[in-house]
Amino acid sequence: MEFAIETRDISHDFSRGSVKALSNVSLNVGKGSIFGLLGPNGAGKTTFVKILLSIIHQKTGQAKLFGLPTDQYTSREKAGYLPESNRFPGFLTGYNLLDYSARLSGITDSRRRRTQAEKVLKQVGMSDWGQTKIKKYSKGMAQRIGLAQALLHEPELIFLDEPTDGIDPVGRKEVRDLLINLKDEGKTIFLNSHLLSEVELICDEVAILHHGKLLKQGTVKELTTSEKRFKVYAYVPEDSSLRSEFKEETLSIVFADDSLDITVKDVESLNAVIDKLRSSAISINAIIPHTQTLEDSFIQTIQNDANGDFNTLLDEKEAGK
Amino acid sequence: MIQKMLSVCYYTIRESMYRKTFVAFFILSTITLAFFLFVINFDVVDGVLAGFSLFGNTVKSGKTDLFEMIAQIETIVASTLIGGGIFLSIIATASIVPNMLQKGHIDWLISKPVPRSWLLLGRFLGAVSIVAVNMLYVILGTFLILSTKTGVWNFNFLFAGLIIIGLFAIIYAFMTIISVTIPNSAISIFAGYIIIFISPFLLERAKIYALASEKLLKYLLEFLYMITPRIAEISILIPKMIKGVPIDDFTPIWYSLLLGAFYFSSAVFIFQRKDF
Repeated sequence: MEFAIETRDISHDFSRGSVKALSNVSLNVGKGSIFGLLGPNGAGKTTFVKILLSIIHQKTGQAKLFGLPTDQYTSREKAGYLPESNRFPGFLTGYNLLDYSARLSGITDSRRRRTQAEKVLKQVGMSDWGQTKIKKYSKGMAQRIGLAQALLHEPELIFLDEPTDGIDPVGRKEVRDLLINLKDEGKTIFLNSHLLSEVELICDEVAILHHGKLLKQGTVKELTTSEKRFKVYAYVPEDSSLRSEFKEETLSIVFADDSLDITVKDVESLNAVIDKLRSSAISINAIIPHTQTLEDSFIQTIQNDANGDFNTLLDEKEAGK
Repeated sequence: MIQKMLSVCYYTIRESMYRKTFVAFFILSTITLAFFLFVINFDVVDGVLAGFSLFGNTVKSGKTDLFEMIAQIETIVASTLIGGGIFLSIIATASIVPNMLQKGHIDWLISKPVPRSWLLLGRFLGAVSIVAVNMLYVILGTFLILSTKTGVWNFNFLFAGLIIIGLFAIIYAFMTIISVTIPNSAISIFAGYIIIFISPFLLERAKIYALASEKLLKYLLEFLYMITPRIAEISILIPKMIKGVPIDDFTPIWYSLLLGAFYFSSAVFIFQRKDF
């Protein structure tokens, strides 16, 4: 698989090492996918994107865009970027900003700059506002023009840091549709967002970052599907001895009329339950892994990590560190 | 790459035009030129200044050396540009680099496939260009008006004008180091003024040292003299140059230009390593 983004053991800190922003983050993003980086405020998401664009220099580790090290400015030729809380020059009109952006991206032909500007303004729903000065834009409009400049030179990789920030619900839907269209065109989109419902709707793959550590990475399905909790559609009679046996063999079990909601230690334990049901001639209609929302999965992951940190702190305290 | 740098330069000029300081500068310059064009009149007889008048009233009559008179006026213009012009230009351009470094703006610029050194160079040249255009307007305008009215074409005045623009560029290079380190317009203005104001004192450092007789002070003054442009010396050189007095030592100019290049290189060095 070809990667648009490759990073290995990226670490960074602020305030002369007192604030750890990123800790050995390694992740790869395949070409043509929508990748979502999730994390609470201060998790290191923006720092990670800034390192990829050489806005921040990592302390250790390697980062590449399309195989080129990020410290080479040419690595950004195929990248577009919408910064979080953008602050474009207010004296420029939308068209001026796009023209400036196009020139910096290497579009030398003025006709192409004009055509591209018109195209992206239409894409982000700002066709009527191109001649208006940016200082007169609302927050949502500034965000849209930011998105337009990120798409202007038809980059293969687009970094979007909180792209729907300040945009109304209808606009958000439009942005989502636009991103899906861009993906269909083969573009790679790297999305930084704390709006989990949005990420769940459009991302192929997500990663969860907390306190600068990469806690999880996988497809949305992988992150929302539990490996330990299942719903087994089967009727176990109330007087069956299986009920007490299962209570001992599973981490938890809830009996309903036509199903069992079980949480097991591992897949072997699940198979043991199934074997017993079958040997007792109980018919199994379906086995469905428990699914949760991305939000639930995210919160659970963050809480587990936070508990881990807390437990480590306690251990250290007990050890007299 | 040069095209991208020129784009930064072009949009920096546009940003400067948007601010009213340069418009005010342009109006002041136009008033000065209008004064030379309409108010001051020279009575030249056989290549000699017989007198001149202001608002039609004779101010001076009797034979005067024409070149001396023109050189004197040009010296006043040049001195005003060194004092007032550079003073105003520092205020007008101080925010150019700090504005670029604002969060949300610098991220956007750096994300473009342009080396940081070219971004800073574009910004620097944009600021210097707008000041240069304004100063050249006054210098060329004064030169053309006075020369066509009197027939005295003192090209040294043009050369002096270029030196004044160069002087601003050197001061602005110093302001750029300060701005990339601490992105604050007020501090940048302060930095620009401080190297102007300490220059005459550093020129007289031997006298200051003689008064204090402190060895450490001597080293400090020598060090400051070494790391600051020779603004005071250049300010003395320029009137001499305009008046046609032979100048045997151009060291203050070359030294200051080299120092300016060092300032800008240092600013690039800091800018390239900085995280935003």
